[in-house]
Amino acid sequence: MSSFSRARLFMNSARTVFVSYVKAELLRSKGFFLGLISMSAWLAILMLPMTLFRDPRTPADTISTYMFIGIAIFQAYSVSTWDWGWELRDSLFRGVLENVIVSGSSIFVMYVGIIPITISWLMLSLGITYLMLSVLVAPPSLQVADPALFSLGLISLAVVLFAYAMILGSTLISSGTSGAVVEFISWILPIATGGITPLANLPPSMRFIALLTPFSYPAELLRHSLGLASLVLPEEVMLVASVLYPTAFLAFGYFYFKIQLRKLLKEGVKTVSLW
Amino acid sequence: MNVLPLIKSEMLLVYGELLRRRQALFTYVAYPYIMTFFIIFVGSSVGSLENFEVRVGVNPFLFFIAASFNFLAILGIVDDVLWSPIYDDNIGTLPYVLSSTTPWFLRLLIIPIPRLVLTIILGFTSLVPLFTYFEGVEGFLTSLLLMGLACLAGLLLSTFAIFLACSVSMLMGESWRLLNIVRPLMMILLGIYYPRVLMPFTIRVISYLLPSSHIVDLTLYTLVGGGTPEVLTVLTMLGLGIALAIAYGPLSYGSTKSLEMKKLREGVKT
Amino acid sequence: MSEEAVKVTKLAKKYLTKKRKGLLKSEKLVVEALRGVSFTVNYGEVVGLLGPNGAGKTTTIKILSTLLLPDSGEARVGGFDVVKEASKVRKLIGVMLSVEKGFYGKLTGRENLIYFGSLYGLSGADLRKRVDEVMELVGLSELEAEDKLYEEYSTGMKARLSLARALLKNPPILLLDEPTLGLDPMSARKVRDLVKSLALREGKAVIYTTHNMFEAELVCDRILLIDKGSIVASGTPEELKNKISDIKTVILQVRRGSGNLNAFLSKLAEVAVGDVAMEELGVDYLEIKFNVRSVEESLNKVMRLLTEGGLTTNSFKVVEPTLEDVFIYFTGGKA
Repeated sequence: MSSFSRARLFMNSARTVFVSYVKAELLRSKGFFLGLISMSAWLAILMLPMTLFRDPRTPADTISTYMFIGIAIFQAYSVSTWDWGWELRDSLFRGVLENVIVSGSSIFVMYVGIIPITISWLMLSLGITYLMLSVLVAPPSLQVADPALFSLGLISLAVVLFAYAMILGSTLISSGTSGAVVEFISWILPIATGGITPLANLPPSMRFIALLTPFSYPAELLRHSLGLASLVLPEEVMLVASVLYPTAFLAFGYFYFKIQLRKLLKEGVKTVSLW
Repeated sequence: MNVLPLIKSEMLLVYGELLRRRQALFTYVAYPYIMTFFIIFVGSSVGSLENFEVRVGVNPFLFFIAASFNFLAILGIVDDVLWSPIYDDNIGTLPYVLSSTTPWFLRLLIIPIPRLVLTIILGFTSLVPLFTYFEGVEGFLTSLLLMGLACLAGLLLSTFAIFLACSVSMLMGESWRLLNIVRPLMMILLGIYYPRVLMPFTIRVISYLLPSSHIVDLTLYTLVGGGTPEVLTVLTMLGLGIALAIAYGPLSYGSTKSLEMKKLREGVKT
Repeated sequence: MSEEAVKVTKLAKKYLTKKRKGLLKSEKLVVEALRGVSFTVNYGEVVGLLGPNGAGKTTTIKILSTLLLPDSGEARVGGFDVVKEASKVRKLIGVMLSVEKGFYGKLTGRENLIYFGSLYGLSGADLRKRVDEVMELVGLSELEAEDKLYEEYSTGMKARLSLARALLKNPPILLLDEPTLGLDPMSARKVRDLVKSLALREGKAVIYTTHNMFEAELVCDRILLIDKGSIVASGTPEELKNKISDIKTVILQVRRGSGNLNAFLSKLAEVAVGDVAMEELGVDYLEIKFNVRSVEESLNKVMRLLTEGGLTTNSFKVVEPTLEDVFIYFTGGKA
């Protein structure tokens, strides 16, 4: 089969995943709408106490803008963890993954098919977050000072999160790790990698650790392009790092995925519990 | 009916589902610290700890470890009640629960009791160390009091939780989605992280209808007031909480019966 | 206790379901799961409810185990009405509804039985002793599976554990819904033998649903054939076969391409009782199976049709009907 035919088959399969997901999760089970409201409610539990730390002299919209960006990045990480990474383990639990493997189709079909849903979900939930912050604190002021830098930040964030999802997902299916551990990781990761707060506000030791990971660069670019934070490294260094590091991470993620898959086939598909 | 064997068997379930799974237990125990760290970390990057202490009047570490403990303790106690109808339906145990000689309502009422063990484990691994570290013997005693209040808050929420769980299950298929909205809203209304004195009036009124919100308020009085609220305040809040919990009793019984009849009319899934 | 353990009189049940039309629309459908079913089961016998998927077997079991309310009719289990006296019925029944689920994955087999035993009103040393007894009875002790987590059990072990639960309170009446579904032959035989001995030696009344004709013949003292919500025939396996004793099954092996097969088959339909089944036997032969009444006359006609059609036969057998034939006869099963 030629590469073009393979690519076409892949995209057709991904489109089928997308259509099935829309029918099952969004239309029939109304998961889209209800899931968004649920996410907003959980976020409200965490957001509300932030207002207790506020300095009365700081404009409310500055606080709410920081909170919005922090929440946005946290949600992006969550999407990568649960929609992409955990989805594989969920397929393993339901007995779907084995059938995907046996079919000869690439597992990436499932990822690619879900991406449009994930992006829509994220956009809508950010909309709800914006509304909640506007009501509870003040409307966040989101003005893109540097569109090129903003776009680069978005792209490199997407690449890093996709690579992370591949690493997480493949580890989950080859080891059968429980949901409790993944939830633990989903809390720690955004904080430890400088996703939630500007790197300049982190203690030096934490900043050092954050800069060792590929996650901090896209987040920092996004904050800087919105005028929220100064870069802790020279701009040229940040730009090069934001291109090279995520690319290397993606390559690593891909090969790691392949190795875990081989391990899965060697050791046999595991039986896992729901959580 | 002898309830002790039922409590023992629910204890078996708690042991199997959580205590035996070390990963899950470790994460559960770490959660108060994770949540405290997360909130303080983000909060201090948008403001400062000093601002918090001025506004609220208490050490933020103590406040949030107590709040996180309260949050997890109450959720840990009632969550299995909230999920029970859905969970049993999914794994196929509901037919056997319904066709047993133990009334379903009784089983749901008993579910929270063994889960108090989790509250105690959580308290001794989060609340007690931090309070003792910051405030010595007085802190230790305060932490024990807070643990007791959290246990009470969890138990008093049981009847409401049964009513909620059964009502939600009756409203729609895939009721877990609706439950996932109701749970966090309930936790907000309890006033754990965001004291209800700061809430808008209408929301505050709704909060008063939850039995445990009064116990949570008592917890805050204990924290902010330095450990010794007035006797009248204590009695009023306890009284309100207990009275509401009892008032929800008939509603919870009725909703359990209604759900059972609905299941029997449609056929319990096997 | 009266001899009648279960008495069902004109039991009926309808389900409301949806039929999807396109992406968002759906149409309401009424499915008659039971249409006025009546039967009795005595103590000391195994009565089989035999029928295809969707016939109404599970609906019947659910009503008798107080897990489903009927629309009309009456069902009495142990002398008590399943609707009005459900709590009394529950004390007398042991139920096995599903082989592969219905237990907590993170508890061992023993712990699961202790859990459910306490729900059934057992406790303390009595409960523990009973758990050991039933695990021994179903053969889980010999597999040393008592202290393994349920999620690690094989399908055979799960089935045995499910049966063990049904036996926990030593009920006089057992309701077993497809208890050997998905089991290997050894496990299935173990379950069948146990069920038979429970009825024979302990005098329990057992209702046993299955769609496996062979199994029904082995286990059941009496069989109720159920299809589309109605009982179409009942009796012992022999009685059922005798109902169609004037019907015999003819099995032909015909060489492919040796004559006009289509013409033969269309004329054969006039001679055969019920449908004609055809199966390929390798590259060269076809096996044609059908039932005939008045054997001698019918066979003469078949021979004449074969000759007229110019078909070459490799073998020609006439056999006694099996329970499967009985079932197909009464339900008009398709070839």
